[in-house]
Amino acid sequence: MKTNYILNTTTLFLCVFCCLVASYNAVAQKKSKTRLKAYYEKISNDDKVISVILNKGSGLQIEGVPNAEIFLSMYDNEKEIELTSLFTDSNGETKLIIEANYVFPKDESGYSVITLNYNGNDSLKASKNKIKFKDLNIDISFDIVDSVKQIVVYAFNIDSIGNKLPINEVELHIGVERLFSTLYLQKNETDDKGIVSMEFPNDIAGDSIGNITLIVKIDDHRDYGTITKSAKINWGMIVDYNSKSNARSLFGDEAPLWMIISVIIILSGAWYHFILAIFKVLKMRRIDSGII
Amino acid sequence: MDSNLEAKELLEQNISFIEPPNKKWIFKVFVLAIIIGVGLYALVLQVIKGHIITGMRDNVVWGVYIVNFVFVLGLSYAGALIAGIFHLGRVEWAKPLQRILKLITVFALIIGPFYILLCLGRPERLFNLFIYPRLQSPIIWDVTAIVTDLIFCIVYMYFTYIKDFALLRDITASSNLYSWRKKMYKFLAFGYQDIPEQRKLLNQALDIMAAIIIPTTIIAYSLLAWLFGMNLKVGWHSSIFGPFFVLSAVYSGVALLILIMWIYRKSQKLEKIFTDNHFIYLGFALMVLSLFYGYFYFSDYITDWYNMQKTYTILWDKYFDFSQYGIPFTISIFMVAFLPSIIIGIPWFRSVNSIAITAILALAGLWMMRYLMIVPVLETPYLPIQDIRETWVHYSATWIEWSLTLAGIALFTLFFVIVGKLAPIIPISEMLEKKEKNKVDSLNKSKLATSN
Amino acid sequence: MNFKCNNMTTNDENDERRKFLKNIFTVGTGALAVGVGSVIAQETESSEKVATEKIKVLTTEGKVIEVDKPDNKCKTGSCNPAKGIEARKGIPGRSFVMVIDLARCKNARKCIEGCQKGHDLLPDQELMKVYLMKDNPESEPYWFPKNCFHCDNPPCVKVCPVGATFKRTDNVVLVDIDRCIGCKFCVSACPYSARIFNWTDKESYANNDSNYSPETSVPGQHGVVSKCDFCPDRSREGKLPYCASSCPMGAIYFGDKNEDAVTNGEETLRFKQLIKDRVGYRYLEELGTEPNVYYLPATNRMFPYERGLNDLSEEKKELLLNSISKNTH
Repeated sequence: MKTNYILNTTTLFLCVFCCLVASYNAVAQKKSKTRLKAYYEKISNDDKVISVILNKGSGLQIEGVPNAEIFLSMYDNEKEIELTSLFTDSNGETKLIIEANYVFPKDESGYSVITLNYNGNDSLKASKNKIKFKDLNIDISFDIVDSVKQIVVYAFNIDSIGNKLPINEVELHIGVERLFSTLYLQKNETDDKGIVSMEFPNDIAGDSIGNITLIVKIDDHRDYGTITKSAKINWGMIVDYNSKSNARSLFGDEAPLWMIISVIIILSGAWYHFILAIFKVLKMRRIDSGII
Repeated sequence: MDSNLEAKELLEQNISFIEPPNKKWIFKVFVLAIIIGVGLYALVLQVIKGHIITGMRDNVVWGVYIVNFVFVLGLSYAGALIAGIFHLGRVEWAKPLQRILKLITVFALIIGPFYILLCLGRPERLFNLFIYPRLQSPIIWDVTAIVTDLIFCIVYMYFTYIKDFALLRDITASSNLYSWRKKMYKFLAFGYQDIPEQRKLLNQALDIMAAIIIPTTIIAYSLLAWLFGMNLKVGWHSSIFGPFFVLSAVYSGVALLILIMWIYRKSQKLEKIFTDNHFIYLGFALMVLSLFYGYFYFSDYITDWYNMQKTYTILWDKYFDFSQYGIPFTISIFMVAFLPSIIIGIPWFRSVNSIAITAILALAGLWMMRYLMIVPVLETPYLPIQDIRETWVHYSATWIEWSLTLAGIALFTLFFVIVGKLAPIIPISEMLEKKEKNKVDSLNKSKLATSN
Repeated sequence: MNFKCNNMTTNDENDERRKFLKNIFTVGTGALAVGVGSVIAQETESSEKVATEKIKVLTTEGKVIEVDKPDNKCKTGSCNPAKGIEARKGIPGRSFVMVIDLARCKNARKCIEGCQKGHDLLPDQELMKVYLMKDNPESEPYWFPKNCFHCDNPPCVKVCPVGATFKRTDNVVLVDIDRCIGCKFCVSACPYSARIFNWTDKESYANNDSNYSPETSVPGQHGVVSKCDFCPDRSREGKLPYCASSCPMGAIYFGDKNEDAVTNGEETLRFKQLIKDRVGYRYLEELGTEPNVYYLPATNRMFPYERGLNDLSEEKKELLLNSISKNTH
């Protein structure tokens, strides 16, 4: 009987203790999920940018995780090479810029792969992600054929020997750079030769000497990511940068001439007579000092 | 000598100003000073806390202050205009009124611009008006006109006082008046000895001043009218505003003149100077002006009514809707356009007292009409006011604005009370002058002029 | 963003770089410890300074270096908001214009909030207002966002006695509150009720020193006039005004008439073509003010107008419905 009693109480204690520990662990180890996102982009000077965002929460409560360390590595022949680690800013974002001439190791299908790792901390779970991309180059050339302005865009890849291989069926957006955004003029897929050509309209405004910046963009392609390429050409209309502030007008800085002249005439007429009257009274006074 | 005796007679009738201030005078000044003091307190509060303590808000940006400004300036310009016309027209019976008209002109012109200052959000930057003026702005035209007119009117008023100061200097030279007053009269008389050459020069100067005052005041008040007339707001953008304002001003000026005349007649027993005939003539003038006013206003209304343009209809409906501005409008238009014709047109009602009361009511009605011209128009912009805050939709003046209005009236009265103690309020020498001219005609005629 | 000038190629410099990289790693681990600790402590203040000044670059040789974050190239001549007399000249070569698509507006009022945040305004001070309008008894009500139209023939500029409000070559009408005397003539002259007056004093007004520029309209002042300014300080940097960038429906397009392009942040359209295709109009055109805000008619609405009444108080709802049904003010 006594042993039974001791057995029962100890099991009870053990159960309670385990429950407490388990609940404590559960409370202490309840970590939130994080999401690691990455984007590949190639910008106009051929540099590549990997943008990384680390988020936590869901729905309307998504917010960035600041000051988190993200480890980047790439694959070279199945070997993982550590690249670097990046720290997120206050919005949970960070980026890595890759210089244009850096050659990424590629796998058999021609993709380059970068993996990202976040190790988590006491309150946040670890997360990882992977992006893969292929390189694509764009050449823009300008030509005037029969006084029609032509733009020819060539999308190609450079193979190991240095040959240019055209890439077809890639959608290119061609536009001009404006102050707040880019005005896209045409959207076309490259043909078999990797070429899109466009007739440039005559009524696009440029700057004060007629320069425009042409922008060619591939938008969030599966393989090639986002690629932007720009080129300047003097095909825009000239805009007058020296237009003078309003000439004489009702709402301008300077009043219309007729207004100034009328006011002067009216005021001088009135004041002339006023001064005349004053002179008469002063003359009257002088008479007094003469008599007495 | 003879003229001096008659002058003495007139002075005796008007003698109170030469005596030192008595209790009644001090009491008057004290009461007025209290009212002005409350106004000053309200002013200080407004400067410290800003315009939020007035009733003005984003839509009705101009309230009682601008109404007062327009009204008071109208009185001023009217005073000058009427005085100039009477002077150039050599209107005999109006001679006693000249001084009062000039005083109205100058005092109102001093008080009026204060209301503009009250309306400014940054009164300390007033001098920006003179450093960076823009000639295209109606406010600059207005400022130029007011400054010009103020200088002209003060000088003109002074010129008309010169003969009286000379008379006073001579009469009080031998009396035992305070020496500072004797010195003041001597200085202000500007060496006038009533010699024919001097008289001629002074009369010429007076004629010139009267001649330029008339167009100046008409132009100046039209410029103020165009401040509203050139505004795109419905209810203001009307071509009738220029002449309408001038007429309205003259009407209010005549009404005020009758009122002041009546006060002086009653309080200083000047029945022989401000005779019944004065009241009757001015009463008829008031009636004619009220009919003109009614004509102008009706003309403005019927041209809008006939077409029922959207926003115009909304605005005019406010005047006839008894839950909005219907009551003040009906009462005011009755007092302004109909009452004078009834009281003055029908002989049975006509009397000095009734004419004076009509004048008071017309004055109040005119102020109300000005208010109705400004505030409901500002409450009716092209875009509907979709605001749930009541004070931002309808304007209601606060005690600050009312106390400053009363302070303005009190200040105006105070000016009269003080100046009345320093110089006569009837142009004695001018009235004597007329007597001298008529002496050649017949004694009877001059007796009529003095005893009527 | 050209880092080629930082490209060091000599061996010495490679060693230096390796040493630098080692240092970075040690600093990095230390920073990681601090960082993790700070994440747990939930302190975000200090972390702002850590990551924003430098950016990592993978060079051609495969080394990772840290360089200074480049300054955004300014899209117009100068990115500093102009002050004083300079503010009276416009941004050269520009002619700003706004197009509001009434078919998209659902009274989200984010434009009003964005503007208030950007210009340090109280919640009841609205430089951009949204009205419920109904053109005639048979037509459907629509939401009508209205800011200052920056007219080419501005009634407000004409009447200002001291020239505190002025029109610039880039189409923008601004207010210089250092000169404004608060006469409110411009407020009564504007037929579109676009101007407001600062009736009360605010603590933030005390910051008014040389930081003030008519292009930002901050810090404001007590007793002067204020209005929508088309945010020229943001235009200098190539950013859309606060209202255009806050609108969740993309109803507000903003751009340069000279460039013939307007954008709402997502799509960019040719201005002249847009007005032609959608028959854009200007409000109260017959007044002759030549406004620079065009409206696209409320046809093919994205939402019924009642959607915009949902988040309003009962009082406001009643007021708006009364306003359009009586067609009165």
